[in-house]
Amino acid sequence: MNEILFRLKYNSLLHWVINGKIISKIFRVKEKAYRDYQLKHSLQKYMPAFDVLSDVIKHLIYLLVVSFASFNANDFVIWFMFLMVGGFSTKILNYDADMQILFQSFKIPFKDIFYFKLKRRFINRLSYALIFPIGFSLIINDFSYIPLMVFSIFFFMYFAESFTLLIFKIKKPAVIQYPLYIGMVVICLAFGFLHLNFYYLMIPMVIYLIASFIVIRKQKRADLFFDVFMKNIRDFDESIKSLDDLFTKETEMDKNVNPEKSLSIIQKYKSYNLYQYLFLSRHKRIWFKPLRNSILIQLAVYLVFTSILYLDIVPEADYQLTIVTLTNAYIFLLYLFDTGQKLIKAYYRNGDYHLLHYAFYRRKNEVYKQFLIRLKDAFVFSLVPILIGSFFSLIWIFGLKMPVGPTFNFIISVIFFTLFFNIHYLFIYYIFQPYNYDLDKPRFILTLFNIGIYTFAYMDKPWLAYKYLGVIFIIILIFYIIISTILVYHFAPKTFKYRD
Amino acid sequence: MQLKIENLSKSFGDLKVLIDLNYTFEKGKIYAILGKNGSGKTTLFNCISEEMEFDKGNIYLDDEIINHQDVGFVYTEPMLPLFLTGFEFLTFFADIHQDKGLNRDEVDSYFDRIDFNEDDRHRLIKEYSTGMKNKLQMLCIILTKPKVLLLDEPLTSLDLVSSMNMKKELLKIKDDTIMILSTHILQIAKDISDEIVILTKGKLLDVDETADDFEQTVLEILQDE
Repeated sequence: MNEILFRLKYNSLLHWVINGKIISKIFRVKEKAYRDYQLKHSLQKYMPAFDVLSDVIKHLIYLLVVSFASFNANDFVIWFMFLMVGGFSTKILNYDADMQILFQSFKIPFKDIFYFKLKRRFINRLSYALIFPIGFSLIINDFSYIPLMVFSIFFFMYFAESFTLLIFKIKKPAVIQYPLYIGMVVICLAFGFLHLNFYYLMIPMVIYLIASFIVIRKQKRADLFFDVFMKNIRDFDESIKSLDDLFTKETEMDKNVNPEKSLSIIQKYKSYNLYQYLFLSRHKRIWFKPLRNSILIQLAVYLVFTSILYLDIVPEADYQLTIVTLTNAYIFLLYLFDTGQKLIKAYYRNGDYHLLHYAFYRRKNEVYKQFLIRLKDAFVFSLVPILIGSFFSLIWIFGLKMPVGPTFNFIISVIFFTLFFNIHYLFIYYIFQPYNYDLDKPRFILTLFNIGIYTFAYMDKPWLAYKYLGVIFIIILIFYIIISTILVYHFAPKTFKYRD
Repeated sequence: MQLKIENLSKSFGDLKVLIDLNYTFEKGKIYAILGKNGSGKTTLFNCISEEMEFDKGNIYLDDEIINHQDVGFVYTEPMLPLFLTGFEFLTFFADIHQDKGLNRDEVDSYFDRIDFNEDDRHRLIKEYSTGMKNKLQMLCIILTKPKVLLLDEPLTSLDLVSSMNMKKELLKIKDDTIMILSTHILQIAKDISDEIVILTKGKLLDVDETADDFEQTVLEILQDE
């Protein structure tokens, strides 16, 4: 299997080199290199070493991003939450072309592919556990977290794969997944707020480890799981896609669309308003569900925070520091439940890609008209989180007599970041149009922006405590929206194009 | 009205697809461009509609550089937003093109023109067959009466009745439009067009459709490539 995968990767790399005009000239690569089996054979034994090396480079890049963002040990909470989020989806069963070829063309049993990828994933986690905890501890100058970090890395790898096995027979796994997900985030944040020893988190981890191991072994879950896949061999694509097809599944329209109300909607809306209304009403799973989940978590966090204030656990002197932690957590939640990027992907794949083939859709005034409608909707999406944040802020000021200054800064930060996360990707979309139809080759500029936002969400932000932050945020927001809108008006007709 | 192409060249890497191509298309005629697969028909259309930048040359519409807003392009693969119903899309399309005389209250009559089943109008486009999508796409473009109408491999996916209806619609707007269709099916070219042009070796060649040895000539030219 290793050999087959190597040939596949080698061929795709070679294809890329041959097609790159300059690169092919530098390396003097000709198409006949595809048939050079001897070369492939001799390179094959180095493949695992290349793979591990590429893992190590990725870990180091990640460490570099974190080192730009990190200032103190509180970042452990953020890192832990990122690790946890990654632990909710299987990495072994991710659908990819390699897996399909191994299964369909070479008829390699599913069980073998599973264990092969499991082994590969373990090596990846091992190199991560060796590099990241030490590097991270050096950055924050605190080595006490190393054992917990190493344990967590392996635990969440086990969690991702074992959880998939545990819930694969359940018809609606989301019923279990979401409450568990929300519960874990809240516990993690509570640990951060209350400054509890993070080593206590190992207790539920160890309990899960033992319980899941017993269930999987006793019920022979893995064997059952493999059987299900083998039986579905004819519908392999669908079976695997239903598990995890990241690129297209996230932009799919809702399943139960009822066009019967269509005529009354047509009476009510016209032109781009009609288009946008129908689009949003048929893609609720992309924006409504994440918004609802984000609001539920926000409510839970605000309630925990209000209870802490009410019970006087936080002394008034520490209020400012605690509100900064809350703002950090809020930004992180916005990042996690960000619908902006998913929505523009769906705008592109399900509508704009097709309509951009029509000349009328590329006219300056048409592009701008639709942009403004989408911008308005982005504001509407921000309204509920802003209202909830404002409501709790008023309770803290008038009900619990907390200082006005930091609370005012908090609510302005909520308004600023909620709007930013909703409108930023829309601006990027119109000014750079970073996607191709399959959404698998985004422009580098988007990757760059994503790294920037990731770093920002990750980093500690002590400047959130600055006295006049609220005023500064208001000014930045107004300028950001005005400048971006002007840029869209002038440049989008040239930049907003389809890419295959 | 004339569409004039001067010294148009387009290459993809080492592959020269269009080489100093010169041709003049006139209003009121339907031109059929015949060519083998990969001969550059779609590339030529993409250059005319400004979807693709070309290496060299000029394209004029009435002595002025062509504007993509004057071109209607019917693609081989229908381009439609799948989350809408056919009726919703055509209503939206009519709203946008009010300046071209389209009226959202007449959407049903537009569908009638291409014999589009009443129930299908209110189904999601996602559920349409390729033929139905093609009909809808072609209808939209025809309704806007573009100055230049490009049809890339049209009619091939349509059933007999739809194909006949669509031909009628094309003939209705023929007098006000420069209409160019590409195909690799000789019969379609002969049926609908006034002029048949062959795209070979990166250039356009006229052939006399009325000549006795017309089919033989076409075959010889294409085999020579």
